[in-house]
Amino acid sequence: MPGPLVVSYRELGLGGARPYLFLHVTGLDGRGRMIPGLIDSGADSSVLPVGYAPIMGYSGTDLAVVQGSQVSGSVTLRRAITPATAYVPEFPDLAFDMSPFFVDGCQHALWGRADLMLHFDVTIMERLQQFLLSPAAASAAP
Amino acid sequence: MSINVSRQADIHEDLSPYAGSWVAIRNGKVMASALDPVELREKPEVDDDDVLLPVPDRTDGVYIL
Repeated sequence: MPGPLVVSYRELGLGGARPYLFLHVTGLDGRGRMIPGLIDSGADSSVLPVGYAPIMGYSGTDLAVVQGSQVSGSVTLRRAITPATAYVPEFPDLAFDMSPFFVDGCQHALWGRADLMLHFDVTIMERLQQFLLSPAAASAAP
Repeated sequence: MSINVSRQADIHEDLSPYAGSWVAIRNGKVMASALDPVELREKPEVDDDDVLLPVPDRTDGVYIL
């Protein structure tokens, strides 16, 4: 099992260093792409701006409409019925399923708990402007 | 157990001029932009390996997600 990975906060041209992580994500069309997103422990599952749906091969019939909540109130979410596959580029052998929620008006990919964090323990080190990704299989479950 | 340091790609360009659009990024630089992601993907100058990214309406200020 590979060891942990230290990732430095970065700006990504958006102003302000934040905990961004590139994931390689392959949707229904089978064309994998790198997508940068913010590590977000407040997201039950990963969230993508709705514009990613068509370029990953998802159309209306491939998405289930559900209601969710965000900081400013309720929001309509479209969840991928057939999951995508994702992996951290530094850990290509540790691919995992991801059923992202596509959200209108969402402007950042958010990597949440039910997929990325189920497979990687994430340690935020704000003072160092870094975070640590540890493959979950390498550590014992409580 | 050894600790590895990420060498993930960075984006070297200020994306604020593209606020509200989608951009295609290659080697840290903007290759193309469009308001619609499908239109962007189909542009001849965009490769399959480019990172496609929506640029928020505002890139400054505090983020609360």
